[in-house]
Amino acid sequence: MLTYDIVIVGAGGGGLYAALETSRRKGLKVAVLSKVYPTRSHTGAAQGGINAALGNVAPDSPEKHAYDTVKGSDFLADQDAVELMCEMAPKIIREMEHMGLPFSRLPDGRIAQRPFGGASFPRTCYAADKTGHVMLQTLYEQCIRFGVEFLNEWFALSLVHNGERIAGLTAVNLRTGEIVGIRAKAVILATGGHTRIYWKRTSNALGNTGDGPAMALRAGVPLKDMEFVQFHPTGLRRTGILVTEGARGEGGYLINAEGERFMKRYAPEKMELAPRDLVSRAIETEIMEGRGFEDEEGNKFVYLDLRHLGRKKILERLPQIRELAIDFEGVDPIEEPIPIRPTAHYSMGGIDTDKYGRTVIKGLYAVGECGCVSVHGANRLGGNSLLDIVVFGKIAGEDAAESVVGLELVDFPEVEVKEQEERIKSLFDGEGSEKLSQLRRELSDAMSEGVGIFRDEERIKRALEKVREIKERAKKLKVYDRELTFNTNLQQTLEFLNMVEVAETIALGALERKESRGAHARTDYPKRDDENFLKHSVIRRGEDGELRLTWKPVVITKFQPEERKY
Amino acid sequence: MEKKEVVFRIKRFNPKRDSEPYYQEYRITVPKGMTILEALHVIKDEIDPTLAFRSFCRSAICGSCAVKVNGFPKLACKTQVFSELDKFGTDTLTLEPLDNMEVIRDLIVDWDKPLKKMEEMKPYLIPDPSVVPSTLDEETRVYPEELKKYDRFTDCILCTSCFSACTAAQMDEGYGGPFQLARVYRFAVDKRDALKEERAKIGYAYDMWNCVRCEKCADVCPKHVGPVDGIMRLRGLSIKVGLKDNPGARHVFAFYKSILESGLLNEVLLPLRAKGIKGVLENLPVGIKMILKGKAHSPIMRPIAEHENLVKVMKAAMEVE
Amino acid sequence: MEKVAFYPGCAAKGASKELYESTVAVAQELGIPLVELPQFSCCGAGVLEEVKEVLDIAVNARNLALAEREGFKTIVTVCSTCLLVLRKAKHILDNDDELREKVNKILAEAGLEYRGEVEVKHFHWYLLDELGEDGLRERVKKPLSGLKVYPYYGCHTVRPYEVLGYEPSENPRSLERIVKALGAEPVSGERRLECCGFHAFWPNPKGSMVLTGLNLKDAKSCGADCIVTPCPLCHMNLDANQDRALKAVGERFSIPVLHVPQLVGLALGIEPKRLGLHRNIVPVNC
Repeated sequence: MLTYDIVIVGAGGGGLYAALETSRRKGLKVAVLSKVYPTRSHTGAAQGGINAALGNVAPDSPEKHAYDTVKGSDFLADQDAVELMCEMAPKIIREMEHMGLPFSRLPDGRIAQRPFGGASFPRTCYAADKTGHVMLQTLYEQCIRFGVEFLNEWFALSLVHNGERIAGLTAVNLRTGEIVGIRAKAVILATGGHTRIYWKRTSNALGNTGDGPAMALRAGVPLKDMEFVQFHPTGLRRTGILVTEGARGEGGYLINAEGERFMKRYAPEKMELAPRDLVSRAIETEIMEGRGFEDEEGNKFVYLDLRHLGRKKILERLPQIRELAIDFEGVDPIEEPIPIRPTAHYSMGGIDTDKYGRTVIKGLYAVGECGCVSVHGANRLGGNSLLDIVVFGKIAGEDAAESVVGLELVDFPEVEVKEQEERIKSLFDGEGSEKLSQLRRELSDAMSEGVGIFRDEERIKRALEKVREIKERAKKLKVYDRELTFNTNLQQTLEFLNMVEVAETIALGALERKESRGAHARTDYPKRDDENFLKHSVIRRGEDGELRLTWKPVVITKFQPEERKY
Repeated sequence: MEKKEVVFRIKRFNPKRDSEPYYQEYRITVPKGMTILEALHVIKDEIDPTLAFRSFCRSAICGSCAVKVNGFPKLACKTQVFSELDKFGTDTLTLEPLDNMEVIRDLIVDWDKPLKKMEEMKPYLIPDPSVVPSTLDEETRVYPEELKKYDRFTDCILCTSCFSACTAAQMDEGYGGPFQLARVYRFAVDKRDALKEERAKIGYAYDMWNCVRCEKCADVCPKHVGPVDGIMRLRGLSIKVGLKDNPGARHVFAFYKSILESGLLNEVLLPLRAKGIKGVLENLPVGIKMILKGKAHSPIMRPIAEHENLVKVMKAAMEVE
Repeated sequence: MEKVAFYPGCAAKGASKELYESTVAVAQELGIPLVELPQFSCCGAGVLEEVKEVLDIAVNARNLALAEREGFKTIVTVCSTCLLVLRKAKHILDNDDELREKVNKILAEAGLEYRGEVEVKHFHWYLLDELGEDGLRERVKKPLSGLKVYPYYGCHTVRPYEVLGYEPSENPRSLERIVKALGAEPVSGERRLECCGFHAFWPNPKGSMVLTGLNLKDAKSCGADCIVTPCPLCHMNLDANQDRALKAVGERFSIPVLHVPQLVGLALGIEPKRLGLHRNIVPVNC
């Protein structure tokens, strides 16, 4: 059994910022547990930038940032949390700049800012097209500087609490295969997103499997707004790999098979820089109505054309995008347009928290994509996710560090570790009549068809049934690798089981939300319905193992819901 | 749709169970466009769930999946199977774990050692209070040309490919390593840093002069960081901060001096200039042999034509910011 | 054939005179119009980057600009490190407008301008590009039949690919192609792309010798009769320092090491003296 004051699960931007914050308090024993070496975390894959009303390029204010965010969220975001985030944004950007983050600069030496979808001004601070990467590296460097302790390549299995307070968690050390109980006065979950559920077409890393929300669900902790899944408009044709919104921010065009900039029909004013939900629907509509392209493999797509930006700008601002397009599509954006199609990208929903990252269990926090404050509501604006993770990582780290002072550890029953050992043993002894890759494909298909970009009751119901069927069939999975050292077969099976649990909540939320809002587009309820659905869905697993859905009001301060036009 | 039958010959080893590493062959059908990582997943999903390898982002930014493909470190996720087949004119690809690190299992290596080394070398900015504002109401002014000095060195994703390929790391346990030294340089030229050029002393302590400039790190780097360039410049900074009395630094002066004198390298004086009398004595037997074979020029060299414009260029280059 | 600017590099003018001699002899035999520019300076071997990056680039921009001024489209060098340093300067100048402007301001002091029109090639690339294997084979008078040659690339003609780009850095074939065209048999070993340690010779002579020793050992174990290399610096370690290198790895044998033009010259039937073979430290019996 290991013992800490605070354990942070996940080493992306949220986890590392929380760690840095706690490391400021002397005498606290803190560890960051991560299933990958910290700098592998998916924060590093964020490309385009991070929003803050610095006003370096055009006059701006946190209030305008907040308004854009709330409007982008289709008025589902909690406005007090949004205000807090946007207020903190400029300071936290500067704090990271002071840590050495290599932001791109204006000729006068100030941090450069680029336009992004759904924003009224160029507000997105960036480092070429590798913003998340340098942010992750910088935060990790500072963690080294302040001596943060890491448990690298450990996989969290379960949360342990006494119904009121957190007691710790169990985890497996992937290098040794040992299952360990870890006692802690506070646990901060920063495990990232879960759109790997859409396995066959997503921008996410292989490990974005909703481990945090699944553990929370199993521990009786509620999830919020799970039906909202963002599809990023520009994923590469074949792989779904991300092409940053920065590409449109820098002036890229979306072109259909008729050679037309079709966004003029969907967002005449903002064009390509409309919010992601709208652009993704526009692309899908073009494809459905026969104005897309199709390749010999049957992949359907439209073009993202950067050629008019010129070689210099592409090399300077979008070097990584150029290389990804060359490596994965065989297309050099300087010479040719990039074939793209929307790709599952971001989970707006997650573990239900307040604006300090607190959950219903005292001492248990969730930050970043695995949590739901909510600052993104029904649709997140580009550049707000990197902001979300650092702001709420910082806040939760601070809150946790303060709260554990003088606190006693809660009793951690040994049986919790035993249970996990049993669970894993049963996977080794599984029947093996079902195959992991097959089930993963079926889950992906069911989710893409039923709760993809466009949804309706019948399709959602089919998906929900299918997910429940997969959940049953998953009991017959078998882990064939019986080694203790780096058993990646065990890990991928555990990750799949987490995805299935989370998938069910997405489908259930989608079924119950009988309106269209943000990323949740129901063809059978095409209008937003503020009267009945200006509220958060909350899903919790009951003692009987069944999911229960309830609703929770949205916090509205300054911005009254209005029609969303771009 | 073009497809090929490809044999993946994969080096397998579980130190807890196997006495020796061994190669296992897997034959799969690979369509055009498939990456090595996708192929590994097909093998794991469809043929052998026990095969162990790391992977995460599959878009060349996390640095998890570096392995050796036919002997050379690559990110599996950004390497096309077909292009490797073409390059080696084969239908068999050999996949092995990276070098210079111990194998944990199959393609998974223990990268703790090189990463720990990086951590010892202060890979973080220590803000200089005279440059970095003391409040969060202000950002540091960093001009684009100042950023350019270290920008590309911030692209490193710690995939350890360069460390695997590094000739010096292979030879010298005390050597800092390519990505590690490049990161030292990255901070040494960041004006926000309190240590600045003094960081070159860290490079010196970690044997940076032992870099053989084989350019392997630059060649294998999936992000085009070119660690060797950072190492070369860090050596330059070490001279600037006073670490002048060593063969590496004196070798640099010898070059500079002789080019300024004549435009050409004075090879005959090089041993003396780089290592003093010791250099001369150490290389005396070889030197004599070379002289006897007529392989030496006169120690006094005639300047090249238009030497004066070379001198102008060198002076102007030394003065420019 | 169009005239090309010959950039011999300092080694070929000094410690590797035989390289200069053999290159000139082969060029004459093949009718390659090599024109040596007396204004060319030392490339700095990359060491100038350790003084100051822009100094390295400016000095080499001057070399490139001189060739352009004299109306050459191609510079041919016989030294791998010169090749890398010149090509790298060119690569940087061609991809960085601001730096190019800065460097051109420096060059203006000397009345020069770099326009980016001149190419830099290694001599053996040039042979392959201009004559091809067949063309070379046709000119062979004394095929090197039965001779087993270890093609040793070393580093700076292949790495980094981004800058050199002539052939895949992981599987170059240019030397094998030349060896075959000359009628000899290439015996390629696993260390043909390894470093000889030359550039760390001063700070770390022992390490440098171990690397060279391992390379020699590999050539021997491949059953090679001799080694051929495109680099005078590798040659210095492999040939002049052979005794020391073998001692460093606990071996004792001797193996001749030839420069590319020496091997080509032999097959063309040029007399050994003109190829400077008598200057090689390890005797070459031909």
